[in-house]
Amino acid sequence: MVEEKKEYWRWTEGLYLNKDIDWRKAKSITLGVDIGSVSTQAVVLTDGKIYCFASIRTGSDSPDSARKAVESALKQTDLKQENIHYTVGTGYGRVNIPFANKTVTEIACHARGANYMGGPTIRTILDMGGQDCKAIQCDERGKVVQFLMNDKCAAGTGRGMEVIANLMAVPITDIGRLSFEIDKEPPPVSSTCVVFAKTEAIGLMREGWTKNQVLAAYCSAMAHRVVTLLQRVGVNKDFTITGGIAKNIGVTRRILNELKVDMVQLQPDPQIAGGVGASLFAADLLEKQRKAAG
Amino acid sequence: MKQVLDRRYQTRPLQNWNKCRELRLKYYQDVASARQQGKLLIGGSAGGLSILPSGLGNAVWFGGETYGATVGADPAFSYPCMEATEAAGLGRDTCVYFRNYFGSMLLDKYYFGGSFPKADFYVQSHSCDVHSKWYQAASEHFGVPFFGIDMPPGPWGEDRTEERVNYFAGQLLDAIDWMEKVSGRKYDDEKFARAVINEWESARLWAEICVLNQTVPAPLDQKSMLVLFLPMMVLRGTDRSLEFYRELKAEVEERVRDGIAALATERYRYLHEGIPPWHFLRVFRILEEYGAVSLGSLYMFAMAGHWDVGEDGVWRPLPPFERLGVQFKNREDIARFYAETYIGNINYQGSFWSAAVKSRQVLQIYDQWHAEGVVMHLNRGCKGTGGYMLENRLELIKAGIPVVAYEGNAADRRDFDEAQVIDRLESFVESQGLTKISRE
Repeated sequence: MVEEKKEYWRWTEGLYLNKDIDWRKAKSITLGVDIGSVSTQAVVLTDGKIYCFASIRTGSDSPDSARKAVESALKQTDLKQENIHYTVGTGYGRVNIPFANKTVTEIACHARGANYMGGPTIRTILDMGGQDCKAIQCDERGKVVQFLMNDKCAAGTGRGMEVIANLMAVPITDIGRLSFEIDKEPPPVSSTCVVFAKTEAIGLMREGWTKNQVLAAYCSAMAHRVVTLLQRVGVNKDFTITGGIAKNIGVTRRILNELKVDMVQLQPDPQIAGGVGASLFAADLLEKQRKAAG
Repeated sequence: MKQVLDRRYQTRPLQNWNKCRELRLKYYQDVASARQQGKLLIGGSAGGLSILPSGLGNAVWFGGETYGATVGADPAFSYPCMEATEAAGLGRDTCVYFRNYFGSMLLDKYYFGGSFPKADFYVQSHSCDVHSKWYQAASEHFGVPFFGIDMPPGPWGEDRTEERVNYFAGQLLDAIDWMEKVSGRKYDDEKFARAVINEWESARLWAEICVLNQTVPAPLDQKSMLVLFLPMMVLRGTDRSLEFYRELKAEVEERVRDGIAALATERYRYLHEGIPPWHFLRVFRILEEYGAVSLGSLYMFAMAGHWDVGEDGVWRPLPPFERLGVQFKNREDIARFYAETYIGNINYQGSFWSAAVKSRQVLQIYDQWHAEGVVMHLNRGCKGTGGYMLENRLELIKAGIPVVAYEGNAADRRDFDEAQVIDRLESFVESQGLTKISRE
């Protein structure tokens, strides 16, 4: 069942460049760097518009991950880091970004980024990150009103999904689709514990479950876990999901079914919301700095 | 280089800070050297009934909780201690102060150097779920005598019934007879009376100091207060403790008069509810970077202070002893006064017995201390003071109070996720409209 050698968990790193923008004409060039436990994003905004970004896997060294993400984003263009006016760092590794002018928490950045990408009607954001989940409520400006985080447990997070991908020998990007290729929705697994996932998965397969049924049961359990978090904070429309798991339809559709709501799909990539928010904060701070300087 | 912006108030270091630290160090040295100094070493709960042996004269009380917290503040020393306790078969969900203390005893390593101090005997009240067995186990380990006192529970004055006072006071008198027997010393009632009055005055002064922190700007911050309340826990009933709190109160009054703030950039006032993570008191400094000052907590105010919480719910320090009109004629009078004080005024025990009482207390403190938010430590290391936190959180939210809770452990670093806690707290203050005041 399990092929340990292949890295099924490896998700596709992302790059984006808006070729219609000439950065040289921009009055404000800001960078947001979001270093999470699993992924790192570097997002450049020019005059408040997304110019380019990179989304890469976080390495063992946060400053190095930040540098690599920025290099990846910038190598698509002739924009150099010295041309950037202001940088804000966010995410768990935010204090380890040597070139950041300021740090802002990722909860504030995800709310701000989701507000920008999904519009001012966004009120509830579920950030499904690499090692935690956050249910956030914000106002029409993307300012956090209240939030809740999951407890110290990787279940229901991106890292948990990576472990399941490897266990089941299914590429992580296929999990969502395959989890719906079943005759009947199985009951959620009793535990979403990452540590016990392997034991539980083997047990289910022995009982005669198909691989897709096991995936469905895991996606369902993960969805249910975050739904309870969302219900505690309350779900107001419009609703959206940020973070890597936002790309897994096996989880997101089950969340929506359980909550009986629709979600606003963030473009171009829900995983960059934190980086976008950080870059927007950078733009605000740059403006403030310029005003103060006269 | 960091620049501090928006400095609104004047500030200056506390003059009594070093004195407090010296008292603490001297106390722990006294514990270690009691025997060489010809003093009795008596073990039991910190605070608690620590003044009861004062009538024996020339004795040092070795309180377990403060020691457990001290050990827990240093993970390198604490981990082997807790592992030793767990290897001895005691669960990880047992009181974290106990696990640190007991492991230190099993390993025979005293945090301040040398072997773990062996008490001559132990006297202990059953004021929480672990106390009742903690010092019995220690006495069995060392093969020394133990006396247990069943303290009637209850957070409020209405529980101070005649039956309860008699029941408790009777046991105190029994304990005195027992201590005379096991120590071979004659018990001096005058010394007992003096300790009881000293304790009353010190606890009352602590309450007055806490009340001074209602001032805007707050003259003290909670991180400092958590050190300043230590003499009340380890030197209860002593002249040294009373003298310290008299001086401290005078200094804090002066700070209030001169508008001296604990935090020059104060612009947000909050309560930090629950025993703090002693290994990560930086939690307070992180929020200070946003101009947020912690004013105190139910735990800190009530653990060391004597309060009169009247029918209106308002927290007021109890009056000076001399105004009570109490005259001690004999040992029974002293024991009864002591029993009445304990049964009626230990407000921190509200957190042990009732979610509703504790919520009411926190809401009252929130109002009286002009707080704007509450940070809650879901302390997995203490079942008593950590009780009902999530129910309290819901009550606070219902009252429209901004509140954030973080999970941790007062003295077990293994239960603490630093990155997540910082993230949670910084996100909370950002949601309150605060931004970092210091910048590169």
